[in-house]
Amino acid sequence: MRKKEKMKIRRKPADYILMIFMICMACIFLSPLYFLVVGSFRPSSDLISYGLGLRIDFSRMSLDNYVIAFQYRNGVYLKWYFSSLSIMLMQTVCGLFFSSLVGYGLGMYKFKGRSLFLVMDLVLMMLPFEILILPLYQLVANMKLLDTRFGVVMPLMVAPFMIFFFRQSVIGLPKELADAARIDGCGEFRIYWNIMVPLMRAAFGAMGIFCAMGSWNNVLWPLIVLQSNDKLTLPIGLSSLLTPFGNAYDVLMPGAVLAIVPIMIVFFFFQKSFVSGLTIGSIKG
Amino acid sequence: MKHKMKSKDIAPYLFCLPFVFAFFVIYLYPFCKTIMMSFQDVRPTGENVFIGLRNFRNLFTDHFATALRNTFIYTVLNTAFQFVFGMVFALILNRRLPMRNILRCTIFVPVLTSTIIAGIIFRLLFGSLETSLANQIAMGLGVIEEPIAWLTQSQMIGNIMMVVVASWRSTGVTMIYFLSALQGVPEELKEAARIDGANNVQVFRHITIPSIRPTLIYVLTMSILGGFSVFTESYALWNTATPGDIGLTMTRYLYQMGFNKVNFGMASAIGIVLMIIICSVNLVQLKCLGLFREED
Repeated sequence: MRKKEKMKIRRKPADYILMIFMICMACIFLSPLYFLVVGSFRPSSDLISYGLGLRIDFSRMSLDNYVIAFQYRNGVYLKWYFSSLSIMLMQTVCGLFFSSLVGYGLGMYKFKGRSLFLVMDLVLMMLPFEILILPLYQLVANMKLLDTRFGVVMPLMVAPFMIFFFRQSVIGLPKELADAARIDGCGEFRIYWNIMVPLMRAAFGAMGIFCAMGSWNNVLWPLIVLQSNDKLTLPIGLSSLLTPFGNAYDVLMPGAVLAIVPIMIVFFFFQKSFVSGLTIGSIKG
Repeated sequence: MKHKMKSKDIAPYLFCLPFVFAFFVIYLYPFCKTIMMSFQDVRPTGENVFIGLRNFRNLFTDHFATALRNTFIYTVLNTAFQFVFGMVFALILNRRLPMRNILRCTIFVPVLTSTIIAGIIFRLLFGSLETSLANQIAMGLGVIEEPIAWLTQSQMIGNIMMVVVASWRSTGVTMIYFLSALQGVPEELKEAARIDGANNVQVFRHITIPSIRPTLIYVLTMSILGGFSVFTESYALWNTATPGDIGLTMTRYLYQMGFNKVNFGMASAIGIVLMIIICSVNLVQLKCLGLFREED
């Protein structure tokens, strides 16, 4: 059956022209990564004197930079990595738990004020988070959470967008299951935790990736909260190596390559939920 | 029995408790505080004095005008680029091309990097040296005679650089959005239109566009929201102050005013202006595209 279908496709010459165009585009999109990876093996003196360009002396390439990156200032790079990972983990676990709770409540029950909650959530989705950072900074400072990882995670634990998404996915769940469990004397939270959460696995996967990636790449808020060098996240730590007095390319380039690795791994294992996690907004509102 | 009924009635409110907490503590309180501070002289000592509209009057400076202009140019260029290239790529890769999946993945790969990493790469590719890629190409094509410092050359080139970084990273996502929307366009409709003698452009204009309208509206709304509040692209390319405010955006100016100059009053005023711009542009856009008109 499948073979037959494949045989049917008759490609026009236009398809081949378009393919060649797309291959050129793909090369353009990949080339910065190529230059990054190649650059990470080049001595930093080469990068300082030549920048990244077509002229590459492959014979001078070595793994030295990767060693330097780990040794730099007593392994501060690994601390940044740990910091990024722990913030990502905390934010994703808390975000999934609280947002799915609220989304479940909004999608599963009919109660007074439900539509008000939903409208409030939609309004928050349209509000730029950036304008709230000054009072949030004061708030975090008053709670003595400045320069802590929890301070970074605190305001991001309940995400309006994730609530909305979970609500959408809960609406499609069979409510009879909940009723049956209720007759058997199951409490409301246990219905959610033991029956509904396993049914929402796909939504959890997509939102988990959405949340993890947002946390991994977040800059503005951690930049404000974190102060001591050891606690910086990767993006901020890496950009702190770019100074007007010179850039530490021997740490920067391998550091940047290694910072992409976790996301790459997640992508290759969970491609499907990854793509749906990033393009989640196309659900009908 | 009675007890169970009760727990079912209370449960939804308990489930929504985290939202209520977040709504008041993380959104509503800071929002009101921002509005309040924008009318205040916020002193580090803690005593705040209401000064009416003076913060807003003080905003009329060259810095603010530059930030406003840069943000506008960035948003327009970035949105246009995303729509044109995202749509072209999606339309092409929606055909049965050879190697279609590999090509889709390749365009998507930059999404996996982060903006800061994109900034590190593009700083080097667009360096001021004669041997950096951008200068090599531009000089090879004869566009420029002397190598130029792309990042500090002019406001316009600075804005384009931010668009380059943003587009490299997010065209893949936009493309996937459009692709999944295109796959939902009913084939029979297109077939019927073709039988009635419509050409490809007419099919695209009258069948495809209306079918994928919700996605178009969503991507546009998000790209306006993200575009006007851009910070990371600017920070990735210039993490210290730039000559002549190259690459200064509204959020960046807010950050500078708040955390470098410690003037929370002025910074809040910038935030309020930013919010008014975003909300009004999005409302006008949604109204024009008729989101409120139809069933949704």
